[in-house]
Amino acid sequence: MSDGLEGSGVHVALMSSTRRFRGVFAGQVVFDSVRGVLAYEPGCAPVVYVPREDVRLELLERSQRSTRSATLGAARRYSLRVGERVALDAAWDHPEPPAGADGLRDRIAFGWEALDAWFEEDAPAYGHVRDPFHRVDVLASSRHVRVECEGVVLAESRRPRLLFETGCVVRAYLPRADVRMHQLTPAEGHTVCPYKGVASYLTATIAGTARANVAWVYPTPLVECMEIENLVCFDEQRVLVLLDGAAQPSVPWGAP
Amino acid sequence: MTLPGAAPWPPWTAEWIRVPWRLRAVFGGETVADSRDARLLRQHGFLPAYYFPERDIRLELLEQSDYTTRSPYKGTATYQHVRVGEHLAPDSAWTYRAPLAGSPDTRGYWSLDFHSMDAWYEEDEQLLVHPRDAFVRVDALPSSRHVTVEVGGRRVAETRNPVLLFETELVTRVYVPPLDVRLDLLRPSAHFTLCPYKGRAGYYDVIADDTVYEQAAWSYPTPLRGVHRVAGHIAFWNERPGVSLTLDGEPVEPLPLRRSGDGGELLFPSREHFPLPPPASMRGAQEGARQHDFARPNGRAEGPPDDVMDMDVERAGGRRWQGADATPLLHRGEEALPSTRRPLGFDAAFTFGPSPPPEE
Repeated sequence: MSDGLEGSGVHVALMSSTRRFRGVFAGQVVFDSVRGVLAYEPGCAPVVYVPREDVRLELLERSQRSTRSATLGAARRYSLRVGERVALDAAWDHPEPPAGADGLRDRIAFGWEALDAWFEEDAPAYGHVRDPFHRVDVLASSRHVRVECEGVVLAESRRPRLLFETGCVVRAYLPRADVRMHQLTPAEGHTVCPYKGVASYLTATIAGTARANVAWVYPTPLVECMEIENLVCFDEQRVLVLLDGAAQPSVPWGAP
Repeated sequence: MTLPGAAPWPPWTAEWIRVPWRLRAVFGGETVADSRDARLLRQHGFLPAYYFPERDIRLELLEQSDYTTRSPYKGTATYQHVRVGEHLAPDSAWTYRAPLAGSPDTRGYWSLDFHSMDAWYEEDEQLLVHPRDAFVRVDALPSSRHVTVEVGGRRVAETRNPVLLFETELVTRVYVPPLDVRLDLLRPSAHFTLCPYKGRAGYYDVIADDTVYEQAAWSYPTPLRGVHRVAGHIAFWNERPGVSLTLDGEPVEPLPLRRSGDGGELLFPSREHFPLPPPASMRGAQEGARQHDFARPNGRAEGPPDDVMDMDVERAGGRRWQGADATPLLHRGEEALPSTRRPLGFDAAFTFGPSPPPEE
């Protein structure tokens, strides 16, 4: 690995960003920075660290809690207080970042869920900041898709919309007309994707047994993925998804 | 800005990426190659290039050629013509039979020259300009930052509603709403460029005090969906002498100009001005994957290395187009090949793009 981190034991990569980041809590802009640094830790979405000078430090108070990260070392925690509202341990910094992560010195990061809203320039961000190395492409296809669970065919289509996302296996989004919707019921819970929007989930009932979250739908995806609107995508980890009669290799997009 | 602790990027790297979609190349009414197991070669300083396994190419459509090229990184490429009846695409297929150590093992795979083919299909959708990269995204974000643009000392644009376009590892571009621009100082140019992420850009000459700043501004009148917010907005070449951009009152430092060997003025944001991208393990991809550098111009996606790049030409998939008839201007004295291929751009899609031949 010739990325400069070899042998140093540090498994984080830093990248500066030119876009404006803002975080809002209780109606107040808590930080506003055009000098953010994205930190990439293994298996995690990037986290933005902003300079202390770009944070409204008077809204932070040092928390009792300290945490330790395997990659970034000790972290001091801060709680966020605006009027009556408090977000405990909402922010952190690394006073002594390890070698290779020195760019995080004097910078503060905020927990995504702690804040009410995040912005990149004037556009809202959902889930986490947009990763510059992550793209999503949706392609109309005429390939054959069949979805089976315990021998029961849940969907069959020759008009899938195939979604390709960096680091993910191919996902087939199917028209509802090609899905046995009568065997699916809405499930609890949602997930948020910064690139696609909010997904709701479906449970399949097969031979009297409920199988939770076998599929999801983006009823109102972000415009960049509008082609998947209201189409049904089955989780290849939970059911068998056959593309052209074969299960797809679990090679994420971008891998050799 | 290089962050403390970041190492310099190695001079040349390449990745051999599996293509997860069905890929087809069409020429002369025939599907020359059709694969569900194609590869993408990402390499420092080149546009991404598709490669097909030999078994997925109709070898009977290839004709012997003596043409070869030599890459100091990949080795010797041997070429074949593609012929379908009276349609000939000379030297448009190549393979590396003995890739050099340090290059990905591409044996058994053939590449087809992008612009020599009539059409490319990813699944059932036509691909225009050049293959997209799995690690490049483009975000066009509405902004309220204050922008001013001066050309030759004259205020040409000012806005508090720019759209900022962030394209991975490229200069952040500022797009100004057209009504915040002195349109009377802009003159449309015949020049255009094509981008598979953004669409087709038309260019403007900017006239300030009898000085013409050629192609100093551009616009995507009908951009692709992902960057729809820049539609009709105008961006300015901050790197051109005489053009200066401020953002929130601060001058935006242009990256250094570099000159090509033939003396032409080119714009090239050099790599050392951009920070180290995260290693592949950080992104969830397999170890060994690398982020790629800016694409660079070539008559094809292969060719000898050089250290100069033209962002216009990069956008046009390696050819500089000029004028409505899109006569290609080859770069730096490359040998002209007999070809009547039209640019595979957005004109092609709307006027004479063929449909894929019917399935057998």
